[in-house]
Amino acid sequence: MGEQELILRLKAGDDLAFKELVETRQPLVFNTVLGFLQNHEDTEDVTQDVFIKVFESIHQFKGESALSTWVYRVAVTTALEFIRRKKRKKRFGFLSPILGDNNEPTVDLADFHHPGVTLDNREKSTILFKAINKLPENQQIAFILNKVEGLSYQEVAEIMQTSLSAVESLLHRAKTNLKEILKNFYNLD
Amino acid sequence: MKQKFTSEEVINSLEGIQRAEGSPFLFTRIQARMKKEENRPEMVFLRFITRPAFALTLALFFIAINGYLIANSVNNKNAMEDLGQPLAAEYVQHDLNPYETNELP
Repeated sequence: MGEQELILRLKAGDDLAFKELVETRQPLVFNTVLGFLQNHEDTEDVTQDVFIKVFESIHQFKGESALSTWVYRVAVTTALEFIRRKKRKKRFGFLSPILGDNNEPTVDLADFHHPGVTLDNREKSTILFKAINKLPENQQIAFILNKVEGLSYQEVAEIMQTSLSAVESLLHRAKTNLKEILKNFYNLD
Repeated sequence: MKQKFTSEEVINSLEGIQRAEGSPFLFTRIQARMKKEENRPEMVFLRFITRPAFALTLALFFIAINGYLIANSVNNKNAMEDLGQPLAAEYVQHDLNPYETNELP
């Protein structure tokens, strides 16, 4: 099924088209969301949220970009919303014990190991993911899309709806900030 | 904690990273979740109140109530006028001089 046909059938509420969308875009959504959330269970839930959002708001998609670009945007926004919600919960964590409202841990207990990282890079990437969490939101988005999802600067610029030079600048600043964070990392932990 | 790696090594640790993939049953799970959402009492109620038939019935009900209240208020106004006329006439008969009541004996 071509992209235009897929979009038309999604707009008509076709279940088969939705199934195709989920099956073809699942890896990009899951991997992107995982880069932000760094937790498998939360990522499974948020991936579901992303596809439900995409299905329910497909009529808002005007076709100005590729469908995948739009899906990436929804994935990034949903992941960031989830993180903000979780941070709010953590801030008011003193009101409840370790378990939250739905018996979900409000504090991440374990280090994150990305399943796609080679074994010899495992420890280093765990440190890197911790440092990524400390970056400003825009730098975090650019870094994850480029380094974790492997997108080109142009693709990142399209998803972030910004210019190529802005993405270059964001990535440069992200690396500088990461170096600074990592320098202090061993003292912080 | 003792520093084991340089920051460059850490930053470059994502080189050659493979995409992580989620559950193969994602679509089934999404469908189950959407069905569950649809059957929530709030959603059933929302679907009911947004039906055109319900909106039309509600509009007709309010129009009927308004009509009834307007008709009632016109009737009440007439009844008040009927009651007021003899009373006013009675008051006019006692054409009191305001100075009379304050006069000293």
